[in-house]
Amino acid sequence: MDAILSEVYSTVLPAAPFVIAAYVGVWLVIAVFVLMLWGKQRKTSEDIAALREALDRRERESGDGQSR
Amino acid sequence: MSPSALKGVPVQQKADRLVPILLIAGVLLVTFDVVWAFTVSPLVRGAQLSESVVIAGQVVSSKLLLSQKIFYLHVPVAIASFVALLAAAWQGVRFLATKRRAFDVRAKTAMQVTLALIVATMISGDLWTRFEWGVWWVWEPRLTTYFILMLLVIAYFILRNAIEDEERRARFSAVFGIIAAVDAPISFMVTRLVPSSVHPVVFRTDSGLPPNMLIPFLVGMLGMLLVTWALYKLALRVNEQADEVETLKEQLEEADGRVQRAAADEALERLRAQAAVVTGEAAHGPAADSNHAHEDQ
Repeated sequence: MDAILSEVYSTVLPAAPFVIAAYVGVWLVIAVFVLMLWGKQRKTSEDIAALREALDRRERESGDGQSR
Repeated sequence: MSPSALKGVPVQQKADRLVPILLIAGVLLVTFDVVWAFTVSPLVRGAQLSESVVIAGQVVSSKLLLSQKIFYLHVPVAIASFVALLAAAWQGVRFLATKRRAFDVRAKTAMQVTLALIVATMISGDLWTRFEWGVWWVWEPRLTTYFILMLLVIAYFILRNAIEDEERRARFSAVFGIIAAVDAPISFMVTRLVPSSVHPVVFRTDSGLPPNMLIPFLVGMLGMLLVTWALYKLALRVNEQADEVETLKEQLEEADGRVQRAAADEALERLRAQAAVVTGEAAHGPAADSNHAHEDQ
């Protein structure tokens, strides 16, 4: 490459890994945040289902107790 | 989704249904920003060259900088973090005014999104700093105030975890969130107010950005705000579910308490009945025995 063109583009190639890392970094943080939310949502959904079932069981048991 | 499909659906549910659409729209707008920034927007000019050169019919007298492309994503993310923090403060104000638990959950959610965006801003900003300034960190006004902002947001979560009582936690967190938000305008304005600041100022009315740089930047900003809103709605749904788990746990404890109380009452009744029988026998026992003796005679 021409010497002056090399000077023109001298910072372009060295900067590329930093630019790519910045773009990847931003999306990675957002992806990790979404994954954490997704994991928590799965856990809370399971907890809600289990707790509702337990509450229903208690209500049925207390209903049976009263009818007896 | 057609408007007729949303007829009769509560506003909250309508907003929830729009979340995936807005998330996709936001991601598409940011993608448009990135593609435009790397294909149409020109490279900005840096240090002066030893001599000028003509490239594609244009005289170039400075080095071309690729690192500036980071700003097309870095600035929208940073501004989105300010917006999310101000939203958290607003929800804190609403909580203090109404004492409704829902606003505390919203404030906490907005703070979570703020923290994620701050980390993203820090990573992208530091990579630019490392390349352009040759160091990972400089204690200049913008970086310092933004670092303080990050510490305040982390402190917000430490405060929340440190307080057991729900009402006090919500009240203290709301006040702390409002105080933390004061740093957002300071951090945003500091590069414009402090002359010694070396941090580049991208977003300003007199920036003189040509349309092929300004348009992708604004599109990216809109896209990132949509992504932020979608993240907030997603996180809010999860936090509301976590809140529901706590409520159900309390109900279950109450139900268990009722059963235990009923069993205890029943046991007490049995004991009382037994005690009455024993007391009756003790009081009437000898007399009854003597009566029986008389009857026998």
